[in-house]
Amino acid sequence: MSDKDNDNFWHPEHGPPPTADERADATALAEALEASFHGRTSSLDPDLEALLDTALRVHATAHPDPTRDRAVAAAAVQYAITRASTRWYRYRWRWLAAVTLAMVGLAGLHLTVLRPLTDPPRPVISRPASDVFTKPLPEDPRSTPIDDITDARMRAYRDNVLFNGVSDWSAP
Amino acid sequence: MSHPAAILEMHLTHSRPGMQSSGRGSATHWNERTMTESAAAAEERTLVEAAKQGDRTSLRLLLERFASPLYSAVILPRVGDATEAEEILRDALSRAVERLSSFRWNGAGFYPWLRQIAMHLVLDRIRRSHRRHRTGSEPRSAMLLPLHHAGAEEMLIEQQERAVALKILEHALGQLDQRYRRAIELRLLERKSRDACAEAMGLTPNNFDVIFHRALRALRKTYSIR
Repeated sequence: MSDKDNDNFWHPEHGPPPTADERADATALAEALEASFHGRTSSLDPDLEALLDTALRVHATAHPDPTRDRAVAAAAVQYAITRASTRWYRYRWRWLAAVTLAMVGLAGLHLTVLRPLTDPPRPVISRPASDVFTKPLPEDPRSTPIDDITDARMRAYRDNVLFNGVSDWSAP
Repeated sequence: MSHPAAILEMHLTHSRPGMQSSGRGSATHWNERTMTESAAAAEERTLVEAAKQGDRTSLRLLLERFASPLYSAVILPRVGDATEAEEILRDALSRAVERLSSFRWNGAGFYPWLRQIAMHLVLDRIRRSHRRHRTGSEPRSAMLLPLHHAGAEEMLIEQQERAVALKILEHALGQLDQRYRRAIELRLLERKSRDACAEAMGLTPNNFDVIFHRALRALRKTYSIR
């Protein structure tokens, strides 16, 4: 009987004999590795999963699969490009929304707070004198000389205008 | 030829074409190669600048050039699990696109920058895994040496990256007990079936599984992520 024929024969050179748990782990790992070579995944506990990753690292390093790797790379490039475009569109809409909101806010601010400060001066509205002077002004004898002078000057002015004609309004 | 040392030697020889030429034509060959390299670097720089300006075609060309070597020779040999490696590649490319405006051109070109992003993601993933599982040792920080010149061919990058990955593997295997090393070589490098491995080592398949399990546990301690 030798190592090749009997699981229970364990040579001391191999180290301490395996426990039942270790044997179970070793079998689970071997089966998971075989499955992964055929593209299947297995459920393992974290410790065995880490060992499986180590085995797969060795395998991937020594045996690249250019066809599969190129396909994976092409899909990843497509993903990154698409994601970048999607992000751009998303941010573009966000940017537009932000600008619109800012404009609406500014308009509201203008109408409510800033408008009274920035309004142009109101136009002077002319009023008829009758609204202000509701009754004739009382005559004052002290203004008679001035009225006379004013009447005389106005008469002279009218005479001159009628005599000379209106040739140049800007002339004094 | 499936032995790591043999694979490593083959990759290193192929990745140094200039060393194979000698004699009268070597100076001319060197000049031609240098001119080709600078033209390729200029082309790569143009692609980067156009991509930064928002040109999607240039961006796609740039990513397509480097995605495959990044996945097959950098991420996958350090992660192992193909699905996780694919996720990391997707994240790395997406992150590179997001941060492209911050990239500043230097002599090494675009690839080392992209590789650095990917390596950070790989290390993050492995650290998370260590924390979750509370096993093994923390990964060492990434070795980010410039492996090539700007504008290098995809094939050259992949060869150099693979040579580095094989060297790391060779170093890790070299620290193992001879029996463990043999188990890993038979099963993973020579890709023999479980039964054939057991036969070659004079064991039952179940006992080979135990030796292989122990070998992987030992390898995990020495197989660094660099």
